Amino acid sequence: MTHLGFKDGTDVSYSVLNAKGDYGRAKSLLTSAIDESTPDLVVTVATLATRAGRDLLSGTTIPQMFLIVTDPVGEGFVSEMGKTSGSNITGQSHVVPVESQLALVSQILQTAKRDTPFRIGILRSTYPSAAGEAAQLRAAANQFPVVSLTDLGFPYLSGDSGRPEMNKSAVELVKTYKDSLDGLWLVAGPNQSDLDFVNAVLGTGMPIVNSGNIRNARLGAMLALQSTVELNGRAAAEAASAILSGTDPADIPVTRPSKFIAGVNVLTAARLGAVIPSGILELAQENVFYRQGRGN
Amino acid sequence: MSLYTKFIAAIIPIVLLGTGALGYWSFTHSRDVLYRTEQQAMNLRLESAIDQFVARRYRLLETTGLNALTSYVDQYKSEALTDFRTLSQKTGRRILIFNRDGSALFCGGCANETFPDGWGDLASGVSDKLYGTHDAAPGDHAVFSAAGFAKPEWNWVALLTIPESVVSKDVENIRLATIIVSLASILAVAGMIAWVSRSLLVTPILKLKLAADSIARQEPISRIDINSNDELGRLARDMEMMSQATHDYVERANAANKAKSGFLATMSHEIRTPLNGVLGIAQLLEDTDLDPDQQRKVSNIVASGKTLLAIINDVLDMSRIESGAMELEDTVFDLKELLSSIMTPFQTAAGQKGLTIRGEYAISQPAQMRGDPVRLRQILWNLLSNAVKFTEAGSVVLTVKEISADAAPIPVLSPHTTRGVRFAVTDTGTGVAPDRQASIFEAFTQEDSTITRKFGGTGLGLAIVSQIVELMGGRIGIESELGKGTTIDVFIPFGTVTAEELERSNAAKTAAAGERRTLPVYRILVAEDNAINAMVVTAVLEKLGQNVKHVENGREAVDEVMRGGTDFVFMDVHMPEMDGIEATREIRAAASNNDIPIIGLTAEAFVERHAEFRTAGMNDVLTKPFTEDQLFKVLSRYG
Repeated sequence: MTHLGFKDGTDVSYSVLNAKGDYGRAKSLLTSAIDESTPDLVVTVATLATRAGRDLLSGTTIPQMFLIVTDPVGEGFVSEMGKTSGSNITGQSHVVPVESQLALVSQILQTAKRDTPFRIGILRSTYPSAAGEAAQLRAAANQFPVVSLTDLGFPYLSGDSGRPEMNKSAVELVKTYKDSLDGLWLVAGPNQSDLDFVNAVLGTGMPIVNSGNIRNARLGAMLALQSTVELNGRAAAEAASAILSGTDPADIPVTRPSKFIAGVNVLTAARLGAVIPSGILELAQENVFYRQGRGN
Repeated sequence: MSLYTKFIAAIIPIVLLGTGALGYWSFTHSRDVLYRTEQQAMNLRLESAIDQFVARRYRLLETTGLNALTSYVDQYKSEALTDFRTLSQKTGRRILIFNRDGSALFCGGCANETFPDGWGDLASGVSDKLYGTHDAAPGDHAVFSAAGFAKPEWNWVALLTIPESVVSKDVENIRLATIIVSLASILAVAGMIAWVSRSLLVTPILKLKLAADSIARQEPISRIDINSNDELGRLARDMEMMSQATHDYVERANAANKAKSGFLATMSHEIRTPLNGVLGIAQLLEDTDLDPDQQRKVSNIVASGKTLLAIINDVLDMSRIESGAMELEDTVFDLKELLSSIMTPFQTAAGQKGLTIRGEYAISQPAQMRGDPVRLRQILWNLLSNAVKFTEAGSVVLTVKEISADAAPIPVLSPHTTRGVRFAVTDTGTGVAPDRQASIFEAFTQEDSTITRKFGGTGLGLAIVSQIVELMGGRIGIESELGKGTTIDVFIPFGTVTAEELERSNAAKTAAAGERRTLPVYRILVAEDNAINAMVVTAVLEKLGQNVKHVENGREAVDEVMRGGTDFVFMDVHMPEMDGIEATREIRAAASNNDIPIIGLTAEAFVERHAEFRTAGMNDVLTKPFTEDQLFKVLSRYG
């Protein structure tokens, strides 16, 4: 916002509400804040917070803008990506379309020249964005015969107290499928950003073929495609500026960021018998990693 | 060939050559540019392809350090070859990749995946870049571009080729386009040149020609429609001035010619009038009782007078011919009778010189024809007269033969209405030298001056004959040998006569045959201001037994006729107080006088004047000097 000419305290002021991935907490905090003072704009980050905001603000005139939402269509915020909502909500998703992710993974795995498809397990919690992306992957997978996807779901437990238990259940699930899978696919949601979760999965020895987080590529994921905080923040700031300048959110389409960054792990690709094609290597030139292992 | 045609005929080769040369230059230049452009495009495409497909991957491997991994090097080589294949498919160009040692590595766009022969040696010789055409094998003549990529593990030479027939096809299109454009240019340029030349040159020149034709026909031109201020415009103005000058000159010439004709008419009148008196009185004197010496002298007077008259007639005839005033009669006459009457006088003359003269005729019936008997008589008279004159011993023969149209020496326009007659007068006289024969029919020409001195004459006779024959549409020729004789050959086409004309002619002959030499006694009035001529005509008429009264001018003649008692009038034309023409008009003005024959007496020999007299009311005209026989015939005819 500062880059767009807004000065903190003069042109704009922010109230930050941390729901810690909990829908009820998000709803409660937002209700209290609105009761104190009606905001000019409510910005919701991540799927659960956005869902809580939507439940509170639907039917009001308070504009709502979301970001870091994996599946706005699946959540019912908009009928189709690239379209307007027709109501007081707009925003953007942060994830690369699943078709693009599948295409790049297929390009890499094709170099292995295997006769049978790679068996990939989609490791995901029941967190809404994770479950939504897993569903999208399964739906699109039939276009990419080089991979065969298996859904590995485990319950989502919110809050810091729930994470060890959730990670443990995920590792147990992976171990159960260890002999029938060639690799794992980490989907969007809180887990892939959780270093403990990623280290725990890597500890199973199962290669991670894809993850929407560059850091995970450094740790061992063969491919990572993500939009950066900077890219997401800049896009959100431009939309917020427009709304604060008087543009109706109903007239602003729900979009994805147009730019992504990629990361590749050469060693993981080699473990799978694959080579990173030149086009992808060129795309990930700043994030080419040659080792794998737990990180801090 | 017209000027315009010549101009177009001259300019078309120039246009053809110019346009052809320009077209050829355009074609060769376009062809060279096409080849150059194609090769430049191939160079750029190949360089771009090597950079994108090979160099970029090599740099990527180098940057990432993966060039040490064989799997990555092989994979990226494979990707590069795949890109080359895709490029080959998209562009339709053949792409050959060789290792630096000349061994074949890849061929995109090769038929049946078969690597072509004849390119390895070329590839092994490429150090960096090369382009041109290469005849690799029969049927594989191609334009190519080659470039090398010399790096460890990537020591390649790539060639991009295109069959020359593909470029040639474009060349053929250029050739066709050049031909079409050249032809269109030729037509357009020729059309423009034709239009410009017609507008600026030919049309004005044609106008000048028409103007020149008008000037040649002595038709005045007021203005030539050329308004340009250039050489042709100035020429038009000059021609307009020239036309005016010519017109003025012709006007003056016509005036002079008219004056000459007037002078001749006057002289004719002035000479004939006294000559009429001389001959008339001499002829009257011949009939008186004279001693032999007196008789001889009077005869000499008559002969000299007739000679003088003949000379005057010749000069007048020549004058008429030269001025185009000679007119021919068109009347029915009997050729046999004419020949008989003309031969009789020459019998005597020939007999006196000891010559034999005879006529040989082959004329089919009827002998009547249509033509001018007076001029025919003049022709034959001249020829026979010359023959007798120039023959000292031997004979003169007149051969007359009617010939068919096929045998005529000249084309006969209407064979069914024309009768061709050949007259030949042959003598055994002095003959005419060969070098003189061509000019014998020219005026004022005799074989030499001694002839004139020896035989007399004006030298106009044969020239007049020749001109009259030409006027009649005939032909005249001569065959002669010095010392042996001469034949003058004349062909004349006469008209045929209708049955009605034939009947009328026969009836007239029958009537004439029944005529008696005796005439009724008429009360004749002679109007003549010249006392001598009056005396002559009065004497002759009285000799014919007529009752004659003489008056001295037209006024008196009118008064006398009005008083009545006049059966016949002989009217002189030129008289004081009132001339014969006016007097005739006044006499004819009274209806009761219409039956009185009026015969003009004039020394004017021009036919057009005679026509004027007849228009005034005269029945006939006698030209002075006239003979007793002419007076008798007139009295017989109109009495």
